[in-house]
Amino acid sequence: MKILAVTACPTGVAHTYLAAESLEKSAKKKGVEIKVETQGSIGIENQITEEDVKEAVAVIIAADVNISNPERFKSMPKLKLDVQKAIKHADQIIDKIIEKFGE
Amino acid sequence: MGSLINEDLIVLDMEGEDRDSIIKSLGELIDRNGNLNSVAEYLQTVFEREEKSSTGVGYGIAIPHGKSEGVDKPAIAFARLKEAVEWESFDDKPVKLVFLLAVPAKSESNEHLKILSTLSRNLLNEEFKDNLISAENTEDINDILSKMFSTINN
Repeated sequence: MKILAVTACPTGVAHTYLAAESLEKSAKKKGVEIKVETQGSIGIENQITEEDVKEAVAVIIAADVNISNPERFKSMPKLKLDVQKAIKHADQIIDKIIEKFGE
Repeated sequence: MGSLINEDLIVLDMEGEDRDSIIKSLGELIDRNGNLNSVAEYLQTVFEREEKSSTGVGYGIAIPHGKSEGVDKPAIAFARLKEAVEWESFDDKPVKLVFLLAVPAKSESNEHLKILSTLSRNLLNEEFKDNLISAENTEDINDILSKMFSTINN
């Protein structure tokens, strides 16, 4: 199972990357594949492609600002939350997606 | 990389009453290091950011930061506190390790921004945190940080 995520925060130097790290760690722990695109002050890194969108079951939008190119995810289930919550509750978020979309 | 982080920007056993006084002390260190043109303007953005949501990231670590016209060159200042202070962290734990980041309003080289993002990612790494807690002097801390940043591929 593959999950996508986009992280973004107002300053784009700290929480964007903390949230990405937290989600990646949880996914690894639970044995699911995740690709996290960071939209920070460096710009977009690890960009999600059309191919990724086709392969994934859902996308987590962990952002306190509007993200760039949200239309990419029009056709897929989205989980939107504050970036802070993604840092704190990454395990529960990944569990919820696994529960819903199963292996 | 010397102006970004160096031993002058690291304090062990910092004493401070509360969150705000610690942010101020670290801001003054960055100012003395020559990275700011207006410490007041810079600190204002840091406090404004802090008001939006706490930068206590849990596990006893906080990462206050500000992106401001008052910053000429990016910097990272670090303090290990003598007594942990309240930071409204989401795990309710008081904070013992503080990184204050200064970022120029106009984005500087990606290399510096990359260093800041690498630092953020490492804050969730237990070993990194343990090393910072057990370091004996500012030189040790500087080594830990330099080592971490040396893994960045430009």
